[in-house]
Amino acid sequence: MLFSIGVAFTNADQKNILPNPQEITDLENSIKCALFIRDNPEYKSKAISLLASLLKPLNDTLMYFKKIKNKLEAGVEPSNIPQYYFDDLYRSARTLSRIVPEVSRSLNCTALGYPTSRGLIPSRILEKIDSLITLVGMLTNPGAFSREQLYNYTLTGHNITSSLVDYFMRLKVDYEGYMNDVVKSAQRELESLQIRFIGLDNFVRLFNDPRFYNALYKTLLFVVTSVALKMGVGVILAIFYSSDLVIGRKALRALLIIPWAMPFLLSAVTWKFLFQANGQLGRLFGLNMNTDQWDAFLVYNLFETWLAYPFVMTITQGALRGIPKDVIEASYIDGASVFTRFRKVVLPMIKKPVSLAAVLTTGASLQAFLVPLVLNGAGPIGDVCAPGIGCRAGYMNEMLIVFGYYRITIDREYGYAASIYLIVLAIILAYVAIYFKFLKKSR
Amino acid sequence: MVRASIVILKICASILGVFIAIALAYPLVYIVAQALIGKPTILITELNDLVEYGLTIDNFIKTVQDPEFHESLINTFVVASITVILAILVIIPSAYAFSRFDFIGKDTILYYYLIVSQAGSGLGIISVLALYIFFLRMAAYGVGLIRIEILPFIYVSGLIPFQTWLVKSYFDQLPKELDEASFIDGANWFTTIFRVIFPASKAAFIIIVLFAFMSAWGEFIIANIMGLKTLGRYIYVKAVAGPAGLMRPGEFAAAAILFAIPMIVLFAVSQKYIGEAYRLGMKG
Repeated sequence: MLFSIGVAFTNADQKNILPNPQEITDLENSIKCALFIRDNPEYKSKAISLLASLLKPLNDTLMYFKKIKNKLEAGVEPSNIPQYYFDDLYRSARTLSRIVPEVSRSLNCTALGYPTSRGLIPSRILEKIDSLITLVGMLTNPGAFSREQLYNYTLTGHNITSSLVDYFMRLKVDYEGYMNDVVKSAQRELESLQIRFIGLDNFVRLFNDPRFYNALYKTLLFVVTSVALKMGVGVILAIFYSSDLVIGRKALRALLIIPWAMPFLLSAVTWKFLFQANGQLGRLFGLNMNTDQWDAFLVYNLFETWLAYPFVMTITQGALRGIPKDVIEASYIDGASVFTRFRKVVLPMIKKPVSLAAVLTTGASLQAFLVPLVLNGAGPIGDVCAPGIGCRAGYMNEMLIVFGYYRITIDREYGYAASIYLIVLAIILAYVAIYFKFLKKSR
Repeated sequence: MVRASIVILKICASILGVFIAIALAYPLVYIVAQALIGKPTILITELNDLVEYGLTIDNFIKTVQDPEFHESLINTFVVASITVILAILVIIPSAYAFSRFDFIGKDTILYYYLIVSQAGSGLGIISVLALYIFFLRMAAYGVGLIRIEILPFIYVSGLIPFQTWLVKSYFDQLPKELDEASFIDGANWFTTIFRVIFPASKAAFIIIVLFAFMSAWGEFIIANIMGLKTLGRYIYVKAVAGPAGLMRPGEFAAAAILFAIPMIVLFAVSQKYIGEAYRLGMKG
């Protein structure tokens, strides 16, 4: 409990709630390794001389590329460019391909005793070198290309090489700064894997989230409509099936509590099938829960009513049975009309239990969760807007509980979800307080 | 004349009554028909479908043969049984203690139970999600708690507030003199509890067993959050949340009905106890 309240003030999410331990060791080791390479003078001089030997063929390659490029730009036909230009290019690239593994071996953290999957030289640089070598290999046979192709290839090779030269120059000149950058970026990543205290940020975010207002609005609307429906249907059915006019009441009442006896899951499957857009009742009433939010909302109301009316009905029936026969007879003798009799005699007698049922069932609607979830996952998906806040894509019928549930199961923003639930909890507790006040008064 | 009009009124009202009752019970008829239809891939939209494809029990047979169904059925059975045993072990003694003894914090705890049990299902979802986050965090420290064995504990903790009140009210009704008489007769605690109290509170046991079993059997959302394979989750994931249900509605209607049968039977059995339980619970 305390833990979950604490989470509400953190930035917990999928990445940091259950961090991959491998990833953490990787990062930690690469930090240690970079620090070691930076601070060990012996290693440093060795690395710098290695870099110098790497830079030489790189610079050569750049130079030959430039030569070929200049010739081509001067309008020399490819066939007139001396073949040894390309041969020199190829030779320098060969040297490069020999030295690169040596460099990456010596700058390899795993070999230095800090096993990590992250290299000091980023993989994009190594890939660049690879593609450069391939390119040069292709250029050994310049006659195979048209002028335009040859020029494009040369230009590409030239650009790749010059960016590589820049990169390794920086590494050689500002060796320590480079290592510091490596350390910093690893530390940043490591930090994102740790849960941090972020104060009230989650709540600020919540109150700026249009989906929250939408959820609040839909929930309150659902409370109003569904409670009215449930209570209305339940009470009317109870009165109707208690009257002497209906024959076979007992058997019919047994039929009527079927929704109560059916496990929720079975009802859910049934209603989902019935109210599909191509299902029987969905077609009959022209409802499509998957595209129209108000169609879906209507089906939620119907389903909730169907689920809850047996409860209301049973309570009302119990209260009706409690009305003494002679009271009703007395009203007959007094000549009261059916309507007056109901208002003056029946209503006061059943008021208390019925309003208790109303309070209980309001609680159920306030916490509507399964009904929207099972019917269409609180959809359809669309732009959820709140006046003054803006719009955002989301599930249009997310009620409050579903809203938090989805933040956990879909977005996996645990800190945010926990803060939502603190607010929902406050709402529920307010409701319970009202409920208890009501109980006390009715006693 | 008046008599005749009353008779007509009666007939009309009864017809209306039958009509409404059938309309409200219709979903059950529909799902049974859907489970029995001869072509499992079709969603029934008109009566004619039944005539055209005929009725069979193939869907049920197919469902029963699905190995995944077996696995979840066994899991659910184990979970439900453990839940029942745990519920009895935890709730009966604590309810007895609440009923018979005075201890520090008794009223506070009872009041807390009352609030929690009346607050509704949303609170349960919230706490389970909080628990889930906690479990994930524990897993980060190498303590894997998300396993099928954890479910009964969660279910029982969900049952405790309401059920403790219920059984406590029940024990309150048993006269205290019963215990005292037994002590005076020289019985020790053991004998008093097992020979006197338990036999007298058979109904409380029945209520707990039924409630615990039904809630564990019918639960699916907690299992789904935790990703544990129970029968409820199997049906929920496939038929309700996923697309399989609409592709083979016949089979999943059958699966849902098979899943529901034990609960409906228990509901019928427990009808009179449930009434009594709510009456007792409301008192508190």
